[in-house]
Amino acid sequence: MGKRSLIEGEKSVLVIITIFCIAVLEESLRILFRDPAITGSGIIPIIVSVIMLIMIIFIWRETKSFSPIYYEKDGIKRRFGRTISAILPRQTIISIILLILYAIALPVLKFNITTFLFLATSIFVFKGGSLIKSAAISLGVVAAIVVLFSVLFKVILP
Amino acid sequence: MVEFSGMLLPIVHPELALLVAVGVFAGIYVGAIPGLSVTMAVSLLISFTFSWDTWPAIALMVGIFSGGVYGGSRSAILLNIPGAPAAIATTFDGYPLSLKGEAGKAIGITVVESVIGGILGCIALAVAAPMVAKIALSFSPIDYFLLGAMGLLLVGSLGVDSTYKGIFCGALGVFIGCIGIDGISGMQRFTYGSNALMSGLNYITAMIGLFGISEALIQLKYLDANIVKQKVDKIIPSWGSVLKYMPLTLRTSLIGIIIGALPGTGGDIAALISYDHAKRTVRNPEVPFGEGAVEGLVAPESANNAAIGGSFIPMLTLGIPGDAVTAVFIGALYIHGLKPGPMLMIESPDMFGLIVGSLFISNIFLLIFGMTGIKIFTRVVEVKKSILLPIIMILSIIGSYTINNSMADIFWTIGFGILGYFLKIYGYPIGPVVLGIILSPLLELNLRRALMSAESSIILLFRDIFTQPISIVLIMFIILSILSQNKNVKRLLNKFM
Repeated sequence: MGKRSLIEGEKSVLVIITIFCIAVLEESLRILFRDPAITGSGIIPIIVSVIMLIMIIFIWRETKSFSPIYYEKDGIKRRFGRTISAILPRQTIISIILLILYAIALPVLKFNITTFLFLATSIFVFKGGSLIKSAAISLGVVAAIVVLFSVLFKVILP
Repeated sequence: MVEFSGMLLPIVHPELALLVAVGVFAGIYVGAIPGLSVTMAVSLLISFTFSWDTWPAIALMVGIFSGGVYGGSRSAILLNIPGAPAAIATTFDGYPLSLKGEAGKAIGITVVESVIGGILGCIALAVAAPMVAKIALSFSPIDYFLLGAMGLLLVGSLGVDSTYKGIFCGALGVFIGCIGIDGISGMQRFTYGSNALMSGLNYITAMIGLFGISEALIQLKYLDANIVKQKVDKIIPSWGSVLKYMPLTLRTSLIGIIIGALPGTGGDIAALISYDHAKRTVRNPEVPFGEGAVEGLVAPESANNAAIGGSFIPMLTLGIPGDAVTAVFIGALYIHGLKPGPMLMIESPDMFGLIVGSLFISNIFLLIFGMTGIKIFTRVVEVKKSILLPIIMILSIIGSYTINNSMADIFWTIGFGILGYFLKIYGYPIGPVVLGIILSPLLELNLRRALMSAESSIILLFRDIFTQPISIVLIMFIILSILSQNKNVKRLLNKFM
């Protein structure tokens, strides 16, 4: 595999993963102390947490051979801003927010209305069409889903 | 003894054949549209067909599997975007052919080769699975553990940029599978007092999030990608050209069957290895590889469909998935009260026969649908992503909700989707995570059983490993897999191959 440049935020994510692996190892040790038998509940958690930690060490070693991003010398604020805009573009952030709002609104507004609002908003924001076109497509899709899943598949919709 | 009567089920019950046909048709379009995946489609289908009888559900899923693996080649040829991972190698020579105005020729070849490979894979399944099932009855717990570990190692090391990331993801999946109440001791693990975590994380929820939602989030970056219009004609290849490439077809189909039969590897790896094989063995192609060589289409397409039959072998006989889709199939069988493994073929021989029969018929429908509807297909592929992607997200959420009718699963799916998004951005493969979650109970149960049999002694466990023939073979395979990642060993292996 040839050398590549670091991806924005790669090292920061690696730090987070390393902390995660240490936390998993710590909890695995607690489980092992609670059930110290080799055939007990702690054996697989310990094995996988050790493997994860060893692999992370090797991944750190791998990243050392990658070319640094040219703007690594910038200040933390600027690098943070660049990283966020590179790995979380506007449409992705909007989509994640809409998904979470959708999940929260589902029990309140029920499936048909919530799904219609989610689809219409998403299609309009992602420039899939005008407001009326987005609403029309969403209405059609919701109707198709209700017929397909409730009638054909006999699935209980959220 | 091969269960022939079960194989005739789709013929005796025409509604099953119809469902296979529907599945193949839908699978072709699911596989063809970049952003949709066969694994996602089959994952969603498990929850949607939950209330169906087992046979119709399985027939539909087999159809989608077969159609979807082929379907990825269409967008690979027309758009240079593989619709499925199994079609990555198809882009190498398929797209250059379409740039020359020979997209129809490329599509025709891929259909025929996929059908031939698929049928050969089906025959291999019918013949090999009963033999493997007999051997599987003599598998001890440590053999199952080693087989599962081998599967995770393979999927974590083949076809990924970084072996370490692949193995990390496999271990991460096993860790996720440990969350909840331990089935043997009843101890809570990694629950932190949360009721939501006590019942563990449903792997279908994780799978839908990791494959479905995350891919939709990734594809949002390409909303403004230009839609390429294509002209397609002259599709059906001549008998002469099919026979001309038959020796290569047979070799790469065999590669596909073997790779598919290895736990954790599937059509994508089979296609890449077969393409590499074709490059090494075809000395003077009419057109150089990478510029529209027909051999560059023959090899991956026959291999990836042959791998379907191969991947069913360990799934049905050992309960270990051959690839991500068969991993989902295992879930489907469990939901319908069946337990894949050596006893499945004894207790439910009709299920084995149904899968073989459905797979065979799916290839007939693949030939029909593959040669037709190309113009419709180009319209579907041209649907804007800004419309398609939100629909995919909704379907994913519906799919995860229907498993337990639980709102918590919707939040878990979104969470796994976001996790999968970040994993993909930083080059961490998703497949090993899902495989790890699925194999986690099997790995843990069998390791603990093996340790109990060895009277809780590591020394006795190693004695058991190195004195049983199956364990010796498996451990050597694992050691070889690990060693083959070393640069010097790779160079040595390349000299021999």
